Amino acid sequence: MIAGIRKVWQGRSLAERLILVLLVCSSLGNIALLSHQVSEDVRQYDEALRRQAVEDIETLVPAVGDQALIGDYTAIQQIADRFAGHANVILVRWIDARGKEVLAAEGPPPSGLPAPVRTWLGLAEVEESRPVAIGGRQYGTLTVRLSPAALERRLWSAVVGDAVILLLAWLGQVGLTLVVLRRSLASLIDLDSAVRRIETGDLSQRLTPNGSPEVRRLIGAFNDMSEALESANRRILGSLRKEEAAHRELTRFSEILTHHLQEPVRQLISFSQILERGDGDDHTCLTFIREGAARLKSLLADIELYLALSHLPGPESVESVVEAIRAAMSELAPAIEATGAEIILERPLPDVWLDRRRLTLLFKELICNAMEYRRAATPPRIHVAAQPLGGFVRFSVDDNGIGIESRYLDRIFGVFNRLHTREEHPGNGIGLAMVRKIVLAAGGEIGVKSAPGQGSAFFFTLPASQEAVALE
Amino acid sequence: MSDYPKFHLLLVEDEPADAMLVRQALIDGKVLADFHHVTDGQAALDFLDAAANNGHGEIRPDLILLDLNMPRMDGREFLTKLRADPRFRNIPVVVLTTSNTERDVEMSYGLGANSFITKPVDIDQLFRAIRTAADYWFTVVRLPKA
Repeated sequence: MIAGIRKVWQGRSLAERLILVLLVCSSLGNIALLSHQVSEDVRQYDEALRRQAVEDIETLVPAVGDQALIGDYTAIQQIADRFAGHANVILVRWIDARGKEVLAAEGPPPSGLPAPVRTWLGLAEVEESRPVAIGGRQYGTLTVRLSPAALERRLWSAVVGDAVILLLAWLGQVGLTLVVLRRSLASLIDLDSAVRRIETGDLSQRLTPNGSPEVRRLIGAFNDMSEALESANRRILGSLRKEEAAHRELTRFSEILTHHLQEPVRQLISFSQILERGDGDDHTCLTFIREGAARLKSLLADIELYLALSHLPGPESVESVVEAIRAAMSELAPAIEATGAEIILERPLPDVWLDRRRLTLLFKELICNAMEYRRAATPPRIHVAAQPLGGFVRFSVDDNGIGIESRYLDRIFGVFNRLHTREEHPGNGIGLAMVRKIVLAAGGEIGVKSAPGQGSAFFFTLPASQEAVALE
Repeated sequence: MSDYPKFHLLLVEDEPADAMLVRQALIDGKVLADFHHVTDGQAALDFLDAAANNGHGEIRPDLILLDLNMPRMDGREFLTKLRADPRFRNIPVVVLTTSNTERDVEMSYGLGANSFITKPVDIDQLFRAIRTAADYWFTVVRLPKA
C-alpha cells in the first residue's frame, strides 16, 4: 500500500504534488475548523436551551404556586396551555401532591432536518423540574420540556453558511495556487527548453526573468551562464580559427620550403655529378654550384627571418611610425643613395600598437620593394600617408615604380612567390610575405592597388591601441 | 637521318641550371629534337602565339616540358590556358617538377597534363627520365599533325 502510494507519488510532477498536498491539507484543515465550530455552537446552543428552561420554570413556579394554593386546576391548565405556546417549549406538566396531573403539550415542532444530521449535531431535548412549596408545604412538581428543533435549524443553517464560506475560500486558495504555480512553472518550462536548446549547441539562449524571486534569480543565473558559455565558445572558436590558419600557413610553408630548398640542393648535386663525370664545361658547372650554394644560404637566412617573426616579443606601448621609418631608411641608406629614392612622409603619421622591430621591418621591406621595382630611368618616389580608421590606422605606401599586372596582385604576398626571374630581380620573394604576416598577426588587413606603369599603392591597417586589438 | 621528321621540344623552366640539365640530358640521350627554352608560362604562351602566327621563326612544339613553379605565370595557369585554347590543346605536356606532392600530381592531370615526372635528384636518373619521356613522345607514339 505504502509502496503503491510512493510509486504513484514519484510519477507526479511538482505541480501535481503541490496541488495534491494542498488539497489534502486544506480539506483536513477546513473539516477540522468546521467540526470545531459546530461543536462549539452545539455547546452554546445547548447551554442557551438549558438557561431558557431554568428561566421558564422560574417564571412558572410562582404563577402555578398561587393557583395551587387555592386549588384552581382550571387556571393552572390555562397557564400551562399558554406557556406551552412559548418558543421551544413543548411540554408543561403539573403533578400535585395527590398525584393529580395537569398536562399541556405541544407536539414537537418538525425540525425539517434529516435524522443523521440531527444525530450529528447532537442537540437533545432539555427537561427541567421544580417542586412547588409554599410556607414549607409541598403542593406538587412542575416540569418544563424544551425542544432543540428551532435551534437545530439555526445551527444547521449557520453550519451550512460556514461550510459555503470555507468552500469558497478553499476554491479560491486552490485556484490562486494553480495560477501562481502555472506562472512559476511556465518560467521553469521555458528554462527547461532553453537548456535543451543549449545542449544542442544553440548558445544564444536568453530568457526574460519573470516569476517568483528565486525563479528570477535562476533565470538570471541561466542568462549569465549562457552568456559565459557563448563568450567562452566564441573565444575558443576564435583561437581555433587562428590555430587552423596557423596550421594551414605552416603546412603551406613546409610545402613551399620543400620545393624551394630542393631546387638549389638538386643543383649542387647535379652539377657536382656532371663535374665528376667530366662531360660538361667545368667553369659553367662550378658557377652553377656556387650559385646554388649561395641561393641555399640566402633561402635559409630568409626562412629563419620569416620564422623568427613569430617569436619576436609583442608591443608594450604604442610605437612611433615616423621613428620606425627613419630606422628603416638608415638601414637602407646605401640603396636609397644608389637609386636616388625620395621618401615623403605625409604627417601626421599616428603611433600604432606594434613593436619597434616589426614596424621597422615592415616599412623597410615596403620601401625596399618600391626601390627594387622602380622604373628604369626614374628615381623612385615613395609616399607614405596615414589616416585613422575606427580603432586602426590605415597606411598607404605609394610608389612610382613599374607596377603590377592586376592578375598577379594576389600572388605578390605569397611566400617565395616571385613575378620575375632571379636574373631580372634578385631576392627570394620573402619580403612582402613578411609584411603580410606582420600586418595580419597584428589584426590588420593588407592589400595593393596597381597597374603596369602606374606604380603600386600598398595599403594596410594597424591597431592604434591595445584596445583596438582586443575589440578585433 | 633526313627522312626522320624533325621534332620540336619546348622547355618552360625558370631555373637556368635546370634548363641546362634538360638540354644536357637531351644531348646525352641523342634525342633528335630542336630545343626551345622559355622561362615562364607567359613567355611560353607568347612563343606559341608567335608560332601559330608564323612570326619570328618560332615553331609549333611537338612536346612541352613544363615546370610547375615559376614566376609571373606558373605551370598550373599555363596548363589551364593551354588546354582552353583550341589551337594548342592537343600538344602533349610533360610536367617536369621538383614537386612530388599528391595534390600537384592530381592537379596537373586534372588540368590536362599527359605525364607527370618528379625530377630525380640523381643526375643519371634525371637524364634517363628525360630521355625516356622524349623517346616515348617522339618515337613510340604517333603525334597529331600540327
